[in-house]
Amino acid sequence: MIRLHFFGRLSDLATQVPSRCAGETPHAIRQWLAEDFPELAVQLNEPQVLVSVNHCIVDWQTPLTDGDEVAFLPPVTGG
Amino acid sequence: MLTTLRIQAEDFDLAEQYSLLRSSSPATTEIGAIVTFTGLVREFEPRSRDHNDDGGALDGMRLQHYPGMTEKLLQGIIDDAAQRWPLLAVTVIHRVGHLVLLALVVYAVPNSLPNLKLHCRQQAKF
Repeated sequence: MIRLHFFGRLSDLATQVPSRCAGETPHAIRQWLAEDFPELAVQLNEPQVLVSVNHCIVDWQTPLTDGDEVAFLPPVTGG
Repeated sequence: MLTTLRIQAEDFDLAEQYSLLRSSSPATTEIGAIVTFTGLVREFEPRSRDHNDDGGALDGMRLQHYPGMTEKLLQGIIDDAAQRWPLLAVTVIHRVGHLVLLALVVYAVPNSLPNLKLHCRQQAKF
């Protein structure tokens, strides 16, 4: 199973999302989320949203393996 | 290189951190300069000083972080700086949680040679 984390405004839209799921890539998980959480999916499709696997920013097509930790990160500004 | 990296909700004392770094550096006689960078909570846009989207002035912010990844990224910045300059010691403290306006957010201290201090200051972006 893949462990899921959502941050910032994404976490407000993901309160009902299971903490673990199956999925071959972050892109596949995003598609799966769109079925039950369309509002969240809209946000996840924003180009500024980043995805990390095991604390490293990765491409959405990165292959996942059992036990991986996937986090969806909203745009961050500051300075 | 002596490295201190902390992610914390608690406030901290700049003078205390400065003294700690200076006294604990492994080669105190080789220190040529201590360069600091301090980040503060501020209004993002000048026009929002009086009102934000909710109609009120900003009084603070909540800074969320991703334990594990935050430390990894900050350590990467420290490693990058160490590759560029002969640093003797570095202290980075980054606060998280609810931070009031003008609260300290980031304190970074690249402790290096004097001719590098300007470059360190220019590159210390978090």
